[in-house]
Amino acid sequence: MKLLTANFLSCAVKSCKSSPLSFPLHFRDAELASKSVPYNPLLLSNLLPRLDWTALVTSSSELGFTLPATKPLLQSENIGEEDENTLKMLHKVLMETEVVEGKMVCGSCGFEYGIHQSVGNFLLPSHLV
Amino acid sequence: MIYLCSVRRRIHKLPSFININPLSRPPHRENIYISTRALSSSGHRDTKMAATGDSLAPVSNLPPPMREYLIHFAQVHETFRLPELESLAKLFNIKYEILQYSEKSPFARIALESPTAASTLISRSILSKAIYELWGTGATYPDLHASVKSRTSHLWHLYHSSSFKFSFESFNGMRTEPNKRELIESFSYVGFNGPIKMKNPDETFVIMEDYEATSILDPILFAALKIDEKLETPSRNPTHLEQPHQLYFTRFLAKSSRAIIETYDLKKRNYIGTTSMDAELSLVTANMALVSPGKLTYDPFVGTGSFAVACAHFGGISFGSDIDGRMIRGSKPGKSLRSNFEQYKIMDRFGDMFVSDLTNSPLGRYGGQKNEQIFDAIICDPPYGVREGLKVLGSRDPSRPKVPIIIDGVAQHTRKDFVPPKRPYSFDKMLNDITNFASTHLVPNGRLCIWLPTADEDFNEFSIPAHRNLKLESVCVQNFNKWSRRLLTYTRHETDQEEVDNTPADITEETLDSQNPRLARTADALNPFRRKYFEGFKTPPSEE
Repeated sequence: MKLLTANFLSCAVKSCKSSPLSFPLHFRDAELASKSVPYNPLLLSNLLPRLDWTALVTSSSELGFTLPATKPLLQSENIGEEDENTLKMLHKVLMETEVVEGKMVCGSCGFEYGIHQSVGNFLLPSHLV
Repeated sequence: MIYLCSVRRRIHKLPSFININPLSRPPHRENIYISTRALSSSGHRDTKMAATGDSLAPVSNLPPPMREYLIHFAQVHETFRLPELESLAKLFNIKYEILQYSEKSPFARIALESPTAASTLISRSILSKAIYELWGTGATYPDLHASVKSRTSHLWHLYHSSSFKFSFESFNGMRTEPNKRELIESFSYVGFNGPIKMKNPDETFVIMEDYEATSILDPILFAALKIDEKLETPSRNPTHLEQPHQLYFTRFLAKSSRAIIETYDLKKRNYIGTTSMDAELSLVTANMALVSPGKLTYDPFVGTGSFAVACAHFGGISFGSDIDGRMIRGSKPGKSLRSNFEQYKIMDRFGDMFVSDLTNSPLGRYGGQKNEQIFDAIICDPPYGVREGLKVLGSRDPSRPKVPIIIDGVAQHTRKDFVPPKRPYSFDKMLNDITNFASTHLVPNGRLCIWLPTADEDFNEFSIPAHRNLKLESVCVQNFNKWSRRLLTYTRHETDQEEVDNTPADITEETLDSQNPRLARTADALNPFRRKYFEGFKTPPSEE
């Protein structure tokens, strides 16, 4: 489970969808791995506008990363050195960091979703569907 | 079939060919070739007129900057070819006009603004082979030569010293080698005097011949041939004519992406399953979904990741989920969905894969509609439910109280080895859930591609899923022996559309129950395709 993905996921329980506490899910007991992934600046600059930055800052801090409090803006034309640093940082956090084992917990209902072998499990038991 | 032939000797015998007034022509090819003028609306209309006229407009007389090109399609998956082309034209924002097209022929004429537009349009195509500049066409060789001479004599000098070769593309017919050589030499009036190179020539000129009777567009001409397709034990295919009925002379411009089918061939893929979609149709689907670099794609029934890999090939960031986590993790180390991304060296485009159910999806985030709109493309081949029956989260017994199951003081769902209960799911309800999901989670103008199976006898009653926020773009059919499957492509409207009064109410299990209380909740009642499968046709779908 990547931080990138966590930025698009909230609690699967229907009654939680209306609660601001259901997003983002909170990492707990996370075992991290850093995987080397080819750097793809175009892809990252396309991703940036889609990120919920506040949620990303929250998720990152849960895993021990500190991100700037406000979303960095890229110069629209060519990528300068400052942008390059921003993208490199995003690459490391979004694409190369993975939660291999651990849990994601809903801030509203407290349900715990397991992460096993990097794959998150969002299936709900019968009493929650 | 490519045939290479030397015409050097002939040209050397007639050196006067090279002196066709080169000095009276503009010195730069670009000046003749690429007009930078924007296409006006009137220019567009003129092109249509040129297309509907009895004779072909000479290349030089087409309204600028439109020019005629020829696309050489693969003669497979015919109903997918034009929708793929339309999708690529939309993706690259290319203006085009189809001038001549038949599903029975691999050759199609198209008007485009420039050779660059032509090369770009075809660059990602899977169902075409290449694109050519059209120099002439005719029903007979004398007609073809007349057409080439009237259209392109002003262009010949541009190539008089280029290295070149000639080749042949014959569809459903063939010629002897000496016969081909003779025909190639009949073009010697163009006066090319450059070296003939079999490998990597500057220019390749191709003579194309169509021998297939059913591709004749004029119904009167076709009727006049009196072809009896039901001949018993014919010595040769009755629709393959002795002589070609349509000829083209073309200059090669650019190849398509068809060669990558080989790269992604399932036979050479590290990890596949019994229902993996083949490489060719996965890549076509990614084209239809307008996947391009940096776009976010999602497959809610990802399985072994056929679509995920195809989307990543075209630069998309692939996300996927499956109700069965074993499919994603794989059976043994090094054989997993992720290992396919490693094999193709596309890990930078591996988004994530997770276990979830479409009806209770974790995707989406609090904060209004914009926050829910995540994906540029949603692609899926939903399970047909033939072998196991479709499953969705929940208890089989709807009267069961909604409380956690506790055994020996332990809530069972908190155990690591807990497997959530699943119940039968209706195929129609699933389609409804997919379109609703797409309406919520696609960005404006994002695309949804769904594959659906149909028993052929159901063809007339085949109903295409509809959603007020999704516009149907195309329906493509792949036929098998006794069943077929269809690729449906939709575009998410820019804004939410008004609810229409006659839209059928959401399909719920309750309405199904009331329609047929006795059968409801059995796998067959919930899935007509599964029922047909066991009642009638024997050819197994891909799930077997």
